[in-house]
Amino acid sequence: MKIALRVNGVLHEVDVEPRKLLVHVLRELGYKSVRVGCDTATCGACTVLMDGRPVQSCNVLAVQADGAEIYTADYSDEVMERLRGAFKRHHAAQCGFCTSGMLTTAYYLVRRGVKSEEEVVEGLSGVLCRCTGYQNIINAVKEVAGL
Amino acid sequence: MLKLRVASYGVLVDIGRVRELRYLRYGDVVEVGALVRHYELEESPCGFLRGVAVRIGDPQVRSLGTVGGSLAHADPFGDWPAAMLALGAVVKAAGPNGAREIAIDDFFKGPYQTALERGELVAGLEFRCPPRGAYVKFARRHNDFALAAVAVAAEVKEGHVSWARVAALGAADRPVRLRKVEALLSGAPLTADVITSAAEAAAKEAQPPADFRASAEYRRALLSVAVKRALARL
Repeated sequence: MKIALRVNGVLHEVDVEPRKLLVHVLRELGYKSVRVGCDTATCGACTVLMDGRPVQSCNVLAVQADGAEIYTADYSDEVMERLRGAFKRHHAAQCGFCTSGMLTTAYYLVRRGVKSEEEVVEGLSGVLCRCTGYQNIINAVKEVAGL
Repeated sequence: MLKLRVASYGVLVDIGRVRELRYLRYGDVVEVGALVRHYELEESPCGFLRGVAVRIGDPQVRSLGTVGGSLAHADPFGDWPAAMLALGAVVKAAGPNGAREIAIDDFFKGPYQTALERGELVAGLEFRCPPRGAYVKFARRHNDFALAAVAVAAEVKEGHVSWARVAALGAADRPVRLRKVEALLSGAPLTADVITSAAEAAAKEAQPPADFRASAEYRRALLSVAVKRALARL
């Protein structure tokens, strides 16, 4: 099936098999920051923003995303750059595998105006960090959210 | 289910873009289309719905999951099934033989089993937003399924409970109403003693399943605490 995806502002028209997951199509388009983690919709490493909402791209068929606006961790604007800076300063990446999912989810949280540490923790609960480096990630998000 | 290889189908029909199933109307009766996603109820004018929506999974789950999907899937630990049972919702079903209404009390037939017939789907739900309501859920971590949960919808006048519908997860193999707790509350003053009695009644009435997440006894204890906290929040 022919679908259209706008990824980080760039329009892609691709022919995909209906069985294909969004995560695989994005990676084949060159967006390698989108991680295949658990492939069972548990870990959240594949999180991207689809029309402004965080979704696990391993849990969406590419055909379901037809016409969608997608942001990956490569997306760049002022909020994302501030998040990257804060992640560096707070040492919020250890092995780095979950970082893409953490950044996209954090971007959503900051944009929607997360109001407390509790909301940050709940908001990030869909992305697992197997290094268990959560506190530094939470601190980085709090800094950018002005908490 | 597909992802976990629990189910596989030769043909898959995506109803995700059927606009007619995506309505949300707040009047005397609240009408929720099957394709309304969990996050769309996080800031609902109906407080009870807000309280349930924010306790579902995580933001990623709430982006994709739908109310109708949750009902039709009928997971024994699904949040909306418990909530709709407490609300006394009417399930609007549609199928090859036309549309029909199913009372929520007749909807859940067992784990993952509903009154829907072959070819039928959930088109939407209707209910009244309760004057008072609360949803208390215990899970191992934020985005896990409930170990036990209690949803209460009620009306309280001059300190007395006019009526209460109390639904629980983790009290049976499916979401169930705790009818003895409801009977005890009906007409009773909402005092600390009554709340304690209701919590004890819940522990007695529940027949919790045991699985890798929790033992039956642990669930029984959690249900008791959940009833207590839910009533205290009314």
